[in-house]
Amino acid sequence: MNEHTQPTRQPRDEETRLDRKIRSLLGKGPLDCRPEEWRGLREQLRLALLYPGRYVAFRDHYTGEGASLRLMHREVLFDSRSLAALNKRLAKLPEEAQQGVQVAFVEPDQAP
Amino acid sequence: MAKESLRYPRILVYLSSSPLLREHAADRPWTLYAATAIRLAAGGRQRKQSSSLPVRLDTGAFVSALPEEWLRFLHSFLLLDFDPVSFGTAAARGSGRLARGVRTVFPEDPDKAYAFDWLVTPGLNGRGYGLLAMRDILTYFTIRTVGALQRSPAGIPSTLPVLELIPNRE
Repeated sequence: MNEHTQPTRQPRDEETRLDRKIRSLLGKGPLDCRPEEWRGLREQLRLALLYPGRYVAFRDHYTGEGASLRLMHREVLFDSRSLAALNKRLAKLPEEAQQGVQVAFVEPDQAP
Repeated sequence: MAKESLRYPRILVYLSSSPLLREHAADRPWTLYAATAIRLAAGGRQRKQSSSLPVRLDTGAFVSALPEEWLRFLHSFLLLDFDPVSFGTAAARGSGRLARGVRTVFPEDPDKAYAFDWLVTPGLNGRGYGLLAMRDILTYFTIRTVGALQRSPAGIPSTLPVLELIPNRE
């Protein structure tokens, strides 16, 4: 593990932390939205709320077609403060597993 | 996992903060930006590709640009002009060195390279991303918007479109 690369947190911890941050930001929870809206909100806000100031490698999963396309899940693979460290981990994936992986930098103050 | 209908390289639309709009109680206290990732590819028959690099679509950029600080891991993919280029933007003036016709690939289609011109500039150091100019995108692709912005009861979009890049002449 590179010293600049964050060990992956337990998924359940991340999901709880995301829900808590959304409630804190918007003052609303899952009961205030339809299930698909809450799911969409969580995925649109995932990077901004959980990874400020970090590079993130992720893979998106969608459903629907055309105008009905919706992001179902933004699957975060790695995150790091350093682009080089993130890419070092990405390079360890088999070539076919790297296909379609997006890399983004989340600016420190991006929470809407 | 659900069936995915996107087939081509894509530019994603992200939510971004706007403390200023929030402070002024705007109806939409958020902004959007579009970004993707690219890799640079070595020429010839080599399949070697650079690290994955985050870039944002910048419709005001006269040319695509990369932070000079990334040269330490990109130098073997870029043949830079000796003479620097000076340029002005809406916000500032800057300079950099141009690398022409650099083979550039997208993560969704790593076997297909497109010749982009990249300006390497210290003006982007510390930003965390490069800039993608429309001239490079529209030379090779037609942009198709898939999906739509839908607002949740919380006022923030719960769905955003994806900008799919359909290769021209396909």
